[in-house]
Amino acid sequence: MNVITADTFLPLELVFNPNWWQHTAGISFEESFYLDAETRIHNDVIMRRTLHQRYRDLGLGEADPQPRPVIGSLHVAGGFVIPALLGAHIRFEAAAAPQPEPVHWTGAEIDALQPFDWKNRWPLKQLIADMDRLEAQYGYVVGDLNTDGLLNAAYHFYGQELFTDFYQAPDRVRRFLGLIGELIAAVASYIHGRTGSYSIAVNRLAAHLTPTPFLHANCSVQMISPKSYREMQLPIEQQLAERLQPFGIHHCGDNLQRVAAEYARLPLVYVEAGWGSDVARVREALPDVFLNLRLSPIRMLQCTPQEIAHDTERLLQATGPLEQVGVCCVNLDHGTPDENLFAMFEVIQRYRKYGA
Amino acid sequence: MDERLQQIYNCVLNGEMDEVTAHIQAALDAQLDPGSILNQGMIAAMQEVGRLFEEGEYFVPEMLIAARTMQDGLALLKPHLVQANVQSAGKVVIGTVKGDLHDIGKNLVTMMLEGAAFEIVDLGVDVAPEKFVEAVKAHQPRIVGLSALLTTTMPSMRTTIEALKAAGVRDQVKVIVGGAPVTEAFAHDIGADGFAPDASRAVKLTKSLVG
Repeated sequence: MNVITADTFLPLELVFNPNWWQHTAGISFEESFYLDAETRIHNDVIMRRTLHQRYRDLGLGEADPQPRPVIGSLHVAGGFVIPALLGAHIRFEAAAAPQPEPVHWTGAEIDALQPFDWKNRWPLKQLIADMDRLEAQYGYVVGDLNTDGLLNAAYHFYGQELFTDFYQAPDRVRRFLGLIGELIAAVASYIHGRTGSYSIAVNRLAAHLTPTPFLHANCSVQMISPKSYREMQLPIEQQLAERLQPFGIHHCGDNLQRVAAEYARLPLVYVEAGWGSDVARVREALPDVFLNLRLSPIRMLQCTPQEIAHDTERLLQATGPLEQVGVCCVNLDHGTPDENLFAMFEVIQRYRKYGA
Repeated sequence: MDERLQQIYNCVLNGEMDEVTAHIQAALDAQLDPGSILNQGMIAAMQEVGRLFEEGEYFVPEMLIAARTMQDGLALLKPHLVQANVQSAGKVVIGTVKGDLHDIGKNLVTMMLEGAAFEIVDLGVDVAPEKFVEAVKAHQPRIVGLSALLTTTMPSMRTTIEALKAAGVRDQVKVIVGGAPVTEAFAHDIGADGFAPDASRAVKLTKSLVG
């Protein structure tokens, strides 16, 4: 049985992208948004207030938000900390999520990587100093960091050789993924020890769950076969899951059903089903996990309210029993009609009222 | 099919990089036509790779390693193709648009197009509209391919097409677009000539556009 509980039946979460936030609330996503404590706290107040002013009927935001000692943004997704610790230069932009610039190490450079003192590297050194100062000032700190995922992070350093080495140098890939896994586990455990949460910065729906699960970002798993996943990544993910409980997976690809049987080999309590996945087959393979259904931000941007209501209804119908189910839409862009968000919400409210 | 061509076909399909050049050399030594080696052995194999990718049998690693095998084979075969006056299927300028650093989709399309005998000018990632214009003027391609992974960089596709118009070269090329957030409707809206949802279908689209 699942060990996490939601704060409501069919919890809903919406995550807007930096472009939306800049157009809507004038927030800039330069480096200071993530790494300057005062800027973070200031923007966190603006963002909670903005969400309430615009979407109070959807249960978002707060009417009178007070400053809180937030250590990482709780309102946008965007993993850069792990690539940054490994040495990638991060490109910050005013209206976009941070992007690690490709490094593309040689095979010898990948082989030479060893565990390192990550607490003394940018940006953790700076963030830890921030945490210490904020904790002294407020008595506590809140929030967490997006700790990315094995393949996502590896790709920045390996390039597409990562995938050809699945066949040509599999031991090199396994070792590299193992080192990244160690780093993810160490950073996530440390942050959890400081704030009590793991992965709200991966998907805000985590904030509706108790205890907050760790979410491993498997955005790139959609590109590999179940066999490759089983041979290259699963053993490392199993080790991660032993250390980071409760364990969940963010799978934003449209083919979760293909790898769901492999995910069932993990002590998994939560999984995100990317838009386009066959959720009925996912439910068969993972009968007890909390299933977070992802609607498409592209369709939310481009479709009519009727189409969005249909999407939502169809997704909920296909899922089956909804006791362990949530709904989210992440990376909503500027220009997304509010009517579409309300159309989705009306369907969810109906299910909340009358049940599945 | 000739047994030697079948062996080359199997090498590309299965990504047997260590063996493909030996089989191509053996075929050349046996006086097989370089055009047949290319078309029946290698391009036919890459077509099957594309089909298997569309069917969900092959994934990115399998597609990449097949394409890499094709590239190794082409390196050996190219001088013989030139000698035999075998023409490329056409020239394609391709890149990920400005503001976007993602390259895997663009690389897959590039490799699959090479596997279909197209000549590629790869401009890389984060490519400004003026770079596309310069490349069109310099290389005279028949196709320009634009890739984007982010909704926030999709507008750069429109900007690039507008830059091609402003430079007076839009009519010289067909523009195709692709990437996770890109749709047929978006492609139509920005004035692109075509959209493909994956690398395999990008090859089909390109072939249809060059006639």
